[in-house]
Amino acid sequence: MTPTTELEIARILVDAGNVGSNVVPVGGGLSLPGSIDSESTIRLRTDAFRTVEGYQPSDLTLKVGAGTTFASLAGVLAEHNQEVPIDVPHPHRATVGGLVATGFAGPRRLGHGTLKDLLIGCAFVQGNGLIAKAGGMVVKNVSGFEIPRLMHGSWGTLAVITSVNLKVLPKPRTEGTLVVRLERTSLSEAVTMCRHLAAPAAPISAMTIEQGGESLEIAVRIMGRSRAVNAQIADLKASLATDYEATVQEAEESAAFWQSLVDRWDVPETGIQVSIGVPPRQVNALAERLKKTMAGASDQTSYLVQPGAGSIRLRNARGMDESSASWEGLGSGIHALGGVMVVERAPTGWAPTVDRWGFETPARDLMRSVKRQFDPGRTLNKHGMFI
Amino acid sequence: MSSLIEQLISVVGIQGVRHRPTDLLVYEYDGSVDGAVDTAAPIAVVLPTTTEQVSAVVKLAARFDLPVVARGAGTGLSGGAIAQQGGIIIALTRMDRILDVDAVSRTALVEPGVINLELSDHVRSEGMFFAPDPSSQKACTIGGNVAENSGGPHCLKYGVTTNHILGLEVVMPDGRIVWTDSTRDGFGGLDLTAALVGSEGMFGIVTRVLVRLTQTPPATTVMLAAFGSMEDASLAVTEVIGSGVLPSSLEMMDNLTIQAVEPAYHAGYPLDAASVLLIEVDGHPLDVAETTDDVRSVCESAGATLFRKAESDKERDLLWKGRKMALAAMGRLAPNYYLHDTVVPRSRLNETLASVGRIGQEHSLQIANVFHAGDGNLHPLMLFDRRKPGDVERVLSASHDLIGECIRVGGMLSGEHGIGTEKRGYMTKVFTDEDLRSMAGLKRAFDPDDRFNPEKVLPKGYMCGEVRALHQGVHAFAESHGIFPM
Repeated sequence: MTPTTELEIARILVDAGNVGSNVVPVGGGLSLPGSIDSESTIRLRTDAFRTVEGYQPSDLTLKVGAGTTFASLAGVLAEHNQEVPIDVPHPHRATVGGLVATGFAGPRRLGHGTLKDLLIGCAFVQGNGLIAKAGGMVVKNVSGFEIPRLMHGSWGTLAVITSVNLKVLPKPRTEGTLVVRLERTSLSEAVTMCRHLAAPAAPISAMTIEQGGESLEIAVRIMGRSRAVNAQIADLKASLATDYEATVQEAEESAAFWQSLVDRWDVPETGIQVSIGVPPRQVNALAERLKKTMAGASDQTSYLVQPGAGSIRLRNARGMDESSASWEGLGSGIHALGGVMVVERAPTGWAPTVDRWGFETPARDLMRSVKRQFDPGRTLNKHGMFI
Repeated sequence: MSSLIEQLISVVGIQGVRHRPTDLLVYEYDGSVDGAVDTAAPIAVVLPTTTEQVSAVVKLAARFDLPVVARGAGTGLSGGAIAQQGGIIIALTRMDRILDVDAVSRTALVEPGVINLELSDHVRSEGMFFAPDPSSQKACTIGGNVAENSGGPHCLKYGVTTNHILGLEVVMPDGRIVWTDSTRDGFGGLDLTAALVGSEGMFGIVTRVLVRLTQTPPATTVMLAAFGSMEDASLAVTEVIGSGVLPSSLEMMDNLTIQAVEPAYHAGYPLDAASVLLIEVDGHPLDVAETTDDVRSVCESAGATLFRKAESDKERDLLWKGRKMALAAMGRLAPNYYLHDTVVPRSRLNETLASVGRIGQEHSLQIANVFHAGDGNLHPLMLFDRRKPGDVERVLSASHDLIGECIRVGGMLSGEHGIGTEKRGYMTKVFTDEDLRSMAGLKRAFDPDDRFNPEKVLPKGYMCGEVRALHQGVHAFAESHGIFPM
């Protein structure tokens, strides 16, 4: 269904609630839960909510309809040399509402934060049909409770977001990316190298380690004015040992490099992809643990590490036996490191012993309590999600 | 009451309980203006040292059916830490330890009573600081910062408190202890941490905070620009932001403020300037140098009568001192002040400042302006003398007009100080009934029996039984929109 007004959304939710149907909000359709295809599921599309309003470049704020694609938004902002500083896979399909609801964060979170940091207001229709808004159009606001940021990462379980108010930032003048290619280096050694590279206080926008098979690539993104960018990249190169193969991507090439990286690491159609988060200081320990667990399938396994953010994503194209004891061991090992593992893609038919949403938390009761207030009838995303 | 006091003493020890009227006097008020916000006495104040003690006290309060108000340093300006309905105040000031600093992850685990500036001072030697820096930072606590989602001059670039909180340990109204984790980027379930920050003590009592620390930038420059009019200064603010520069701080002060501040601190603010801007930029040294030049050009084009860049750390600190200690200097001008907090879109700043001037004239009040121009967060300071008949009334009337004016131009009620009791009555001017019901629902999810800091933020009636029933289920929508369930 493609409602055109908030009132229509409310009607759909109320009607669905009365007969016990499941309603799943859909933006670009890129992050839908696996359980969506049962007969009684209503896909509620946000396509009709695409206006960009109230954009005042000198205020650095605007209101965006939830169905607006990220590419459209980026285009509007680029005309005034402004941006929302995240790299999004499939930006012509991914919607702003979807990005907020899924709490998407890319490598630029290291230097620029996430959408949560930019969210200053939102309008929504709750699961029980209540049409409301929260926040405002000003960059600092403590009037009332922080519902917009609660909506961030709520995966459509509380409300259908119809628009968000965002704070935006000036676009950096230029950028550059240092890419260092390493052979026969372990993931853990690369993490240590990254820490060394990041040690000087000059700001880094993003830093990743990508490994597939024997080769490994470290990429460091610097953004700002050109003299500073060039100087910083030169400093980084100088701090590397001379036998490393290092190349520099500049300006548009640099931007393209990162777009291609996030596209490449979007959730695949097949195989397994897992995302693990630990406190940054535990990334070495995590890398070593992963290597042990995946030792039997190392040729098919690739990794994307963001050391500054404490994140490792792991992908195995062929898929693995989920009843393997090593998965359980991995889960508890991650927990011991203070982290969380989430299965982003698993083969159909998998009933993993590892909790798909990967977290144990006594806060879950509290989450259920919040859910009960916003969607007492459990109309939204009835079968899936974490609560 | 003695049974309650005895039981409280058995939980926290005799040193941890205040119950004599003379001991309770200092807890009757906070930083807000008596008259705009009522003072009120609690039955007892408890000062725990552990989370378990907080939990036990909360359970006791529930057993005696008493409300609970959490309190930090009591520097809040909207009445958030005043026990309007009596009950028990839990003061977190004795829980003041920095438990762990992780320089690699750039985080710190702290107790809520840690003083904001002391946290930054503690981690400075490791090249880090805690970015939210409210003007009260020498006294205010991290727990208070969390409750109010505090700001400060560096929020323009670094964001507000919520952007720097990664996890919270909270005691719920039934005494349960819960840890909320906000580090998992979209896979952590609902972001309860985000809901808790800015909840003004109404959702849970924070007993531990995992904060994000920020790397100290390699270079920082502070500049002072003076202008012949407030309009010129406002224009400069718009032009600086419009040129693509994001300063780490962009503050404005008017002549009245300069008159108070300069004789007190000799920071170098020109006494004849109508307005000064204090601009800070930070980052890579080359970026900072170029940006400084750009800012200078912009200010000069906007008509700056003076532009000066601090050439030493000492000069930098002095320029900042004038800003950070501005409130303390106001005593030179008047015995009392009402420090307002409103926020408007930056593009309406000029208009709003003109309105502030007009409101001052209409009510025969001197109003000083010292504020975060970069994010449109105004702090008009109404000067008065409480002892003079009619002064308080004029201030309250002017305050009402001021808030109305800010709402009219698309602003919100509070940028930093919170709603508390002070602005509860204005919530219906910026939020609809549905918006408020949604917020009441969130409150109910955390505190269904309204035990924590009742009668704050939400206007009267939103937590009462009748509205509660209405809120539940599909009937909420059905009744208000005439859509009837089949």
